Amino acid sequence: MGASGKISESNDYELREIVQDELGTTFVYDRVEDNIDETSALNKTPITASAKKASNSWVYWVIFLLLSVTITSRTSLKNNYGSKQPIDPPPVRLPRYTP
Amino acid sequence: MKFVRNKSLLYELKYISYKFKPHKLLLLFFTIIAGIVVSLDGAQAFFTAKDSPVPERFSFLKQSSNARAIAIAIIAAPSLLIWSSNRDTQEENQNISKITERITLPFFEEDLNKFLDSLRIKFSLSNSVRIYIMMPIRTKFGQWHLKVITNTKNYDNNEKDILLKFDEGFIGYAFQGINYDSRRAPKYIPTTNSNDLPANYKHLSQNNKDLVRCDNKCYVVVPIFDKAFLNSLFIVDTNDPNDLIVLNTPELHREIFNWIGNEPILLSLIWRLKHHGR
Repeated sequence: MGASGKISESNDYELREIVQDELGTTFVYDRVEDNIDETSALNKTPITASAKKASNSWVYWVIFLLLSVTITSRTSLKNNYGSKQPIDPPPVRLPRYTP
Repeated sequence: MKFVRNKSLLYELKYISYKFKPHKLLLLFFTIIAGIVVSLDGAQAFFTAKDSPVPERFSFLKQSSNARAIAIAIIAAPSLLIWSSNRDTQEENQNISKITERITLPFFEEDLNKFLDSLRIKFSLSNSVRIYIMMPIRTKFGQWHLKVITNTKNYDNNEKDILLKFDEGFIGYAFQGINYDSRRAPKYIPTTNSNDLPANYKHLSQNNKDLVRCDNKCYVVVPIFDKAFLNSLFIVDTNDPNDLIVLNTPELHREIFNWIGNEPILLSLIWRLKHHGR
């Protein structure tokens, strides 16, 4: 078990180059699995958590839109018909009193 | 030097992004705005207006300055309660962090010792080979140092107090050159040619010089990344010249890579524990 907190895999690391500088030597490795992953990545795009989240977000937008439309239409209906102001009755013309 | 500053800045930004909680700032902002807007008029009127439910005999509440103070207090109280509750949670989290650290590190150290034993057997290394892991630790605002967080049992206890600047000594020199592209590039640094040091090499401070094992013959520095972030350094050193050839071999480097693994979740946890509540 290593720093990863799990049993180490027998990953294969290939030595790509050795770079010598003023103070020491740097050994540059490639991980074989990385190369395999990179080639397979050409054929399939990994779905990240944010991408998944983004793909589901349209559902919420549709629900929001439907709710908005419903509320707006109900409000406008109410304004036009539901809460119609009572119309004052026409003034009653009494027959002129003639003694 | 500019590069060092950038690295410190990078770690400072990482630390701030870890600590920064936007909702706390919003809460403070809304409390201030609500305090100003409401207490000046609406909430104050609740006490002083003609049709106020507060009886006239409560003259203390009827004074506008008192009414304003009480209105502000009523608005600020929920925020203060949330702040107090957060402090309790933070204290509890700090305690949990300390306990987790006390449990995790010995386990990690034991594992490191076993790994060193296996390397000794496999590569016939001497007993003077040591392994330790150094991690960037925040000492104060904008100041970061490399510090040993775990080590094998043959590592001197005094050396645990070493605090390296990001460009200090052989390890600091190696740290400067690490970037994501060099995440699988261990650096082998022999210290025997100390007369031919590069111009940008920065010597150890006196305090660190007094602490470090002075007859070290070489360092092998392996970067440990948590995704794209340089989390810590895996370091092997020795003062036995017979070990130098082995420490230069790809077989040993591969063993180290395998031990570190692909996702250093334990080190990520330790990074979080080390920086929690500080």
